[in-house]
Amino acid sequence: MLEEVGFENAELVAKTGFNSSPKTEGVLVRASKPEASKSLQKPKEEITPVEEVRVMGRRPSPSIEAVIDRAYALGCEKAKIIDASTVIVEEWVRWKCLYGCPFYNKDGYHPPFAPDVDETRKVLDQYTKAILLNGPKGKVITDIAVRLEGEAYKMGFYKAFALTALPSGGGGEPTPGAT
Amino acid sequence: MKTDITPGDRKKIEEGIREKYSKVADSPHGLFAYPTGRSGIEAQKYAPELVSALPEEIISSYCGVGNPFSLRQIQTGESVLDIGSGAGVDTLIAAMMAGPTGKVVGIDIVPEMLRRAESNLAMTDLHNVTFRMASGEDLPFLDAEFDSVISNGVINLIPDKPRLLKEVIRVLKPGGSLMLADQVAIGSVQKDMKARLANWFQ
Repeated sequence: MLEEVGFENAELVAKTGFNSSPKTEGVLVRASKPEASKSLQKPKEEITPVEEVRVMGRRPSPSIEAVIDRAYALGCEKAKIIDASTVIVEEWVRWKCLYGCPFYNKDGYHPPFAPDVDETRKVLDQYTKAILLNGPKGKVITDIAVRLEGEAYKMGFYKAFALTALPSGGGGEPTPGAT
Repeated sequence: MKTDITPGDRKKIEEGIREKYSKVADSPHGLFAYPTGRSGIEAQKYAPELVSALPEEIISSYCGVGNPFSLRQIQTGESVLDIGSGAGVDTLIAAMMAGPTGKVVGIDIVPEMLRRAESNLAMTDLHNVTFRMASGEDLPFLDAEFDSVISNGVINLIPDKPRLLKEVIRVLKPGGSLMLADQVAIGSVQKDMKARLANWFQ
């Protein structure tokens, strides 16, 4: 049954001797999930070794590389650390929202309720690093980003905040030039 | 891989599990045909240094059928899912192995067992463990979230095993490990569903 659903190296390793009835016996079984296709894996030379931590109850300084590892594990195809100062925010982008986007004036994710350029710049200036994610289209990458925000927070990156690429235009299809 | 379990059968199985394991949450002593508590965990040769790190009250709640960590050690930094975590003894041991950079999640469908697990967790200084109510057949986790999935004496109770295994492989990372200790039927499986249901919780 294990191999039918996709496991490999399925093996009944031993009997445990703990049987719940004369008609059953306790066993130890192991199996593994096959490695993914290479296109979805982080190149091996870029994998950061997990730091050896043996002392319980003491949380080490958070590593942004660990967040990158989680981004790949959650399904991102690319994840890159960038300087937050390189993120460009400009006024013209709001015009794209104002003229031609059906979500204008609809909710807090879109103008005029979404943060304006000055506020966005001020918030970005409170960060030194950001992680640029690239991955599956549509809601999946949003789910990954939000999940990663939560995990980064728990790792100690308390200011972690996901800015996601929502679909724009009618029917959720990207509109050329729209944000 | 179809199952012949009807919705009515499933309801009976789940009610039976809840009835039995609400008692187990108080104490497993005398409720199983094999040793539980300290004698059980020592017989299954869990790492003594990990067992000795846990308070006796936690050890007394152990009722596993084997030692999943004998199949593979959890490594520092791993994320681990414990399906049917019960009182959480395996979950806590996995958390000690995974260390502060790892995370371990235990799931169970019996509220009393989850409360016992939370109570056991509160007796430790572990901060990398969470318990939540969930069924192994519908895992509330993203794809590729865990390095390892463990389970001890639980999958034999699950009505739709193929569905559970599909969920397990979904939440495992590529190359991730499944380590099971469980009960398997020997001899022929009873065809009469009524008889099978009667024996489901042994």
